[in-house]
Amino acid sequence: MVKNLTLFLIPVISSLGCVDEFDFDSGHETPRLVIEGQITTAPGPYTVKITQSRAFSSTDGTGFVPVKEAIVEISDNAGNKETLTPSGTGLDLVYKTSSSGIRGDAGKSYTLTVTIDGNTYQSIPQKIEPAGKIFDLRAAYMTEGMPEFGDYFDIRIDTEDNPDNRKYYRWDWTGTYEIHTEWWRYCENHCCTCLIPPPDCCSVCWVNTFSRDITIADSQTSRLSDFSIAKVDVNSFTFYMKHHLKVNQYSISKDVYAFWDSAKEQIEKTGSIFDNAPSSVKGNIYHIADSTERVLGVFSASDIVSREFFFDNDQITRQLTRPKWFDDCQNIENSTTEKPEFWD
Amino acid sequence: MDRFHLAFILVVALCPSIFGQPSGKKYYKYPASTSNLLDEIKKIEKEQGLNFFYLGDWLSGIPVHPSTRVESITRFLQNHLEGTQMSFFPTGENSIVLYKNPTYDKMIDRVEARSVNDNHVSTIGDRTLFKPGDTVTLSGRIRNATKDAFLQGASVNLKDSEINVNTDQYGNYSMDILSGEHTVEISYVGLNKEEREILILSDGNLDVDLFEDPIQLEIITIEGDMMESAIDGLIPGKTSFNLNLIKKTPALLGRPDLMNSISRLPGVADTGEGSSGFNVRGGAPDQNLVLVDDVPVFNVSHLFGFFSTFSADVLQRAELYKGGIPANYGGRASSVLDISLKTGNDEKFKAGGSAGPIDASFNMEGPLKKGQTSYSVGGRLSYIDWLLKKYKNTDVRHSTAGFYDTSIKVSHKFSDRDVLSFSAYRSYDSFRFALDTTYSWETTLFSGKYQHSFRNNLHVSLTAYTSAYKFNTASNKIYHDFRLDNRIDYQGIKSTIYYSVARHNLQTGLSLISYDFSIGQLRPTSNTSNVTRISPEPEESSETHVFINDEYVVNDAISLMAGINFSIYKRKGPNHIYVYREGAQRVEENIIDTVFYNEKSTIADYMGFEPRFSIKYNLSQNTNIKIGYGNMNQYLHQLSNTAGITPVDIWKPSNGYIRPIRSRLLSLGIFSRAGKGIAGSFEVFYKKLDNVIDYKEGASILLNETLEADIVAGNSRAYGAEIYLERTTDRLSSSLSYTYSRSERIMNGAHPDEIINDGKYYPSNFDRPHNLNLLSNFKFSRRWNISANFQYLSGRPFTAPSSKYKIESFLITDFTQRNSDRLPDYHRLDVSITLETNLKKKKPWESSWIFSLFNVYGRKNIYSVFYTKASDLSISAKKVSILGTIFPSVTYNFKI
Repeated sequence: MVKNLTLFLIPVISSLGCVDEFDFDSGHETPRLVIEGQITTAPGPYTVKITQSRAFSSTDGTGFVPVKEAIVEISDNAGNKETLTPSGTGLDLVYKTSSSGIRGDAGKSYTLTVTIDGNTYQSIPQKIEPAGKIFDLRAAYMTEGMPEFGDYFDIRIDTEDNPDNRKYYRWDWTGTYEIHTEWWRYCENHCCTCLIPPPDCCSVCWVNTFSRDITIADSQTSRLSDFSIAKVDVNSFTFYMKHHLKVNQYSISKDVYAFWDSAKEQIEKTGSIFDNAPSSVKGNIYHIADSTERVLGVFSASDIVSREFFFDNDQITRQLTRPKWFDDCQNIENSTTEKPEFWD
Repeated sequence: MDRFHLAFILVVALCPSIFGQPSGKKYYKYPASTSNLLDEIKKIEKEQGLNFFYLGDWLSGIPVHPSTRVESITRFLQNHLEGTQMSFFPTGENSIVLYKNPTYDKMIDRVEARSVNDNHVSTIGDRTLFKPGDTVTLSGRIRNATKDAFLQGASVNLKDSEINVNTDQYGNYSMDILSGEHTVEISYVGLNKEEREILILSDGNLDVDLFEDPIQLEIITIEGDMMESAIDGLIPGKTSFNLNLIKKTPALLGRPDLMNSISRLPGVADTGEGSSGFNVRGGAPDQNLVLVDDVPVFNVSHLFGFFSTFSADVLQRAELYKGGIPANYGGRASSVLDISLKTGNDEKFKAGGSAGPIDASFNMEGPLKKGQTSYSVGGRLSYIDWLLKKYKNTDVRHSTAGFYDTSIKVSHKFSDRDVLSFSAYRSYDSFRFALDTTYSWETTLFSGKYQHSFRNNLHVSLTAYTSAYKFNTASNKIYHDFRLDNRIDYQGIKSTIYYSVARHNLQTGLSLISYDFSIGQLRPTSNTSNVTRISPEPEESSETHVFINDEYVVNDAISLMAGINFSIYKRKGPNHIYVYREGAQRVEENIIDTVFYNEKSTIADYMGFEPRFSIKYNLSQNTNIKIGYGNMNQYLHQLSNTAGITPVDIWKPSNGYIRPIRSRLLSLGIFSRAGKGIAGSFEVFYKKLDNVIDYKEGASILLNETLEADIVAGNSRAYGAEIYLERTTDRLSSSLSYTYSRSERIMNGAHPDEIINDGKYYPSNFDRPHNLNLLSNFKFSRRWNISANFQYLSGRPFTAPSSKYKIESFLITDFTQRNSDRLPDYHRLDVSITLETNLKKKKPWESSWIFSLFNVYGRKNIYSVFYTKASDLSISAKKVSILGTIFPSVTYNFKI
C-alpha cells in the first residue's frame, strides 16, 4: 500500500498564476474639485491649492491644472479671517495668506471656505490640538543581512505617549548632507577625446532630502516611544560625512488622520488578496449647497513641534568611498552652495 | 363456487405472468357527468390495462359524481367502497379483486403458494388478524449493510400508491398502508436500490439492508438518485449529496470535493477561486449554517476556498437546504449544510486513501469490539509549497501554505436501542504571504451524542459539544512585528425527540449555545516592535432555540411540513459599552458615556419567531409542485472589507447597535421525471433580508473599538429562477443547471455616511446573475469513465477606479460608486478520466486513478483586481488569475 503511494505522478506545469494589466473603460468620469490647504502654529504664509481630478486612465503628462478665480478664505472661531491671494502662474498657481496675516493658534478652530462660480465649498472646522513634546530623536544603524546589500538609519522618536487620550500625529522630515566633489576628474567630451577642464562652479554643496512617505500614528494604537518614523538611506553621498535631520511633528484632527490613513492604505497597497476593498479617500471639505457632491482633498490645522540633530557615519560598518560626482554640485537635486545656518 | 372465487382462481392459475409485471402508478380521472362505479371500473380496465374481478350487480348502484379531480386507483376505490360492505384487494400489480366477505384463508394460501416459487415475496404480519381492506402499519429499519449503519433519510416508497416516507435518524420508518400485496422500493443515494414484494396481513415489520457495490455499472446514474431525492422529498431546495459521486467528478487538482458539488447546484455559487465559502441564493457566505455532527462550524475552506475542510472519505452524509429549511435548524439566514461524520464499521476493518499533487489522505474504520464498538479515523495533509514556487509572482513564490484536517468518531452500541458516539474534528490552515505575514485559521470540535429509542417510532437524541474557531495574523516585519489573535469558543447542547405516528413525522427539541468571542487581541512579538498591545474585552452571547417540526402526509397528493423555531438571543456582560448621543451620527465624537454591564446583566437581547412551511402537491406520480416559506434570524455577523471573503475576517455577535439579520424566503418549484432517465426542476425564489451589514467608505474593520461607527446596516433582496435538467442512460449521464438571480442591497441611513450609492439598490458582492453548470459523465467500459464539467458565472461586481488627483506629492485614486463595475465573466472547463479498480474478484485492495485537467482551455479567469504603483507613483490596476492555465494532475485512490 505504501509502495503504491509513491507511484503518484507529479504533473508538469509550465507556469501558474498570472498578473496582467487590467484595462477597463472609466474615462467617462467628470473631473472633480480637489482642494488642499493647511494652517499651522508656525509662521505663514500658508498656501491653498485648488485643482481638478483627471480620469484614471488618462496618461498624457499635462499635469493637474489649477483652478483660477476662486475666492479662498481661512477663518477661525474667534472671528478672524483672511482672504488668500493668488500667487504664481500656470501649473504653479496657488492661493497664499500674507506672511503677517492669520496664524494658527492651539485651541482655536479653523475653517477653509472656497467659492468658485457662486458655489461655496467649506471644510469641517479643524481644532488645533497641542502637538505635545518630542523628548528624544535618534538614529539607529540597521542592516538587512550584509551591510553592502542594504543598510539604513532608522529614525526613532520619543514623544508624548498617552494612550488614554487619543491623539493623532503626522510627521515629516528634512535631511541635509554636505558633499565635496572630485572636481579634478571632471571631463568633457570634445570629439573622441576627453578634455579635463575644471567644472564651471562649485565643489561644496549642501543637499536636502525629504520624507517620501505618509507617516502618521495615533497614540492609542501605536506606542509612541522609540517609534520609528523614517528610514534614511546610507550611501557614499548621504553619509560620506555627517548628516543632519529635522523632524516636524504635527497634531492633526481625526478626519485629517483618516484622510492620510486611507491615502496611505491606497498608496502603500501590497497588492494582495488581503488588501481592504479599494475605497475613495474621504476628505473633510463639502459643497455647502449640495452635500452629495463629492469634493476631494483635505484642509488641516496643526500645531507643530520640531526637533533636529546631527548623526555621523561612525556607526556604519562598511567602507564608504568618496562620492563619485565630478560636475558642479548644484546639479544635484535640492542642493545649494549656501551653508545652512545650523551647519557648523 | 361463486363467480368471485372462480375469477380469483383463474387469475392465479391462468395469468401468472400478470404478476410482477412492471407498471407505473395508475390514475383515475373523474367523469364529467354522473356515472356509476361499474361503468367507471370498466373504463379503468380499458384505459389503464387493469383487471378487476367482481360481480357487476355489486357495483352498478354506487354513484360516481363528476369532478375534475385525479386520484390514484386505490384512493378512488377506497372513497367509493367505504360503507358498502365491500372491499378490495390488490393482487399483483395489475389486478384488483373486489369482494364481499371472502374467505380470507384461501386468498392467503393462494398468494403464499405463489410466494414459495418466488422468494421475493415476504409475508408480513399475523394471518389470524388479516382483514382485506384494513389499514395496517408497516414499519422497519433500513441499514447500510456495507457499513453496518442505520440510514437516515432513506426513502421507502410503496410503488402502487403515493405513499413515500423517509427513515428517521435511526433508520426507522413507518407507513400506514392497505393490507394486501405491495411492492416496496427502498433507496438511498449511493447505495443499491432494493425492491421487495410483500404480502402484509397485519401490522408488521420489514427491515431492509442496502449494499454498496464497489463497481456499480450504474454508478453514473447516481446523480439521478440525487435528483430523485430532490423530486420525491417534501422540502423544496433540499439536496442530499452522494458522496461516492463527489469522488468521481472532475475537480481541482484531481481532488474531488464536496464544495465543488455544492457549487454545481442551481442557486449556489462559489464565492470565487481563492475566497472562502459559497453563496446560496444571493446570500453572504456567513449566512450558511454548516453543521458537523450537529456542531456549527465557522470555516469550511482550506487554502482560501480552493478545497473544503471535509474530505469526502470521512463523511457519512451531507445535505444542503437552500429553502424550506425545517424548524430544527436555526441561527443563519440563508442555508443549512448538515454534515455527519462517518460511523465506523463494527464488523470489519476497512481503510482507504488517496494521494494527489497537493495532498494525501488516509482513512480507516473498524470494530473496537465486534458488533458493539466501532471507530472511524481519517485525515488529510497538504504539501503544496512546491506548487507555489512555480508562480511567477514573487510574493506568491515566497509564500508558504499548509493545511490538514482530521477527524475521529467512536460509536458504541449498548443495545439496539442505545447508541453513544463521540466525534472530534480539527482543521488547520496556515498561509504565509510573501515573506512576512502569516495567516492561520483552525477549527477544533468535540461532540458527544447519545441516542435512545423508546419504541420503533419514538426516539430521543442528545448532543453536547465544545468547539473553538481561531484565526490569527502574524507579521515579522521589522519594528512592526505583531500577532493578532481572534478566537470564538462555543459550547452547546441539542436535544431532539423524534416521534412518528400515522402520517406524521414529528421532531421537537431544544438547542442552547453559548459563544465567547475574543476578537482583535493584538500584541507585539518583540521588544523592538512599535505595535502596542490591545486587548479588547471579550464578548459573550447565547442563543436558545426551541423548535417543533412536523412532516405530514395528508393524502396521496399532498404532503406538508410545518414548524416553528423560536429563538432567544442574549448578548451578555461584562463589557463597557459606548453610548452615543441620541439620534446623532454614530461617530466617536458623539460618544457621551460609557456604561459598564457586569457579567450578570444583559447588554442586548432579541427574540426570533421563525415559522417554516413547505407543501408538496403531486400533480402525478412523476411531477409535483413544492412551495417553501421560512423566516430565519441570524445573530452573528462576519465583517469584511477585503476583496474576497477570507477566513481571517472577523465575526461579531449582535449587540444594541448591530441588530440580528432577519430573512424571509419564499420559493416555488416544479419537479418532474419525464421517463427515459430525464428529470428536471424549475424553481423561483424571493428572499428579503433586514439588517444586513456593509462597511462605510474606507472603514477599517480590524482593531476597531467603535466598529458600530464604521458599518452601516440596511436591507437586501435576492430573487431568481433556477433550472435543473438531467438525463441518465446506462452509459451517459448529463446534467445542466442554470440560475438567473440578483442579489442587491440598499443602505439608506439617517446620516450622510450611512448612505451608500445615494441610498439606491446596488449589487452585493455576490450578485452574479448568470450561473451555468454542465456536467457530463460517460462510461465507456466497466473500468473507464470520463467526465467533463463546464462552469460559467457572471463576473463579480467591484468598485473601479475612476479618477486620480494629487495632494502634496501623492497621487490618490478616486473610485466609482460601490460595486458599479463588474469583473469579466468566469468560465472554465474541466475534464477527468477515472480508471476504476480491476474487476478480479480476489485482489488485495481496490484502487482507482483519476487523471484530470483543470481549466482545459487555460482561461485566465480573474480572481481579483489589485493596484500597484506605476512609474509616476499613481496606482495601476492589475488583474490576478490564480489558476490561469491548464492544470493536469493525477490522483491515486485505494480502498482495502
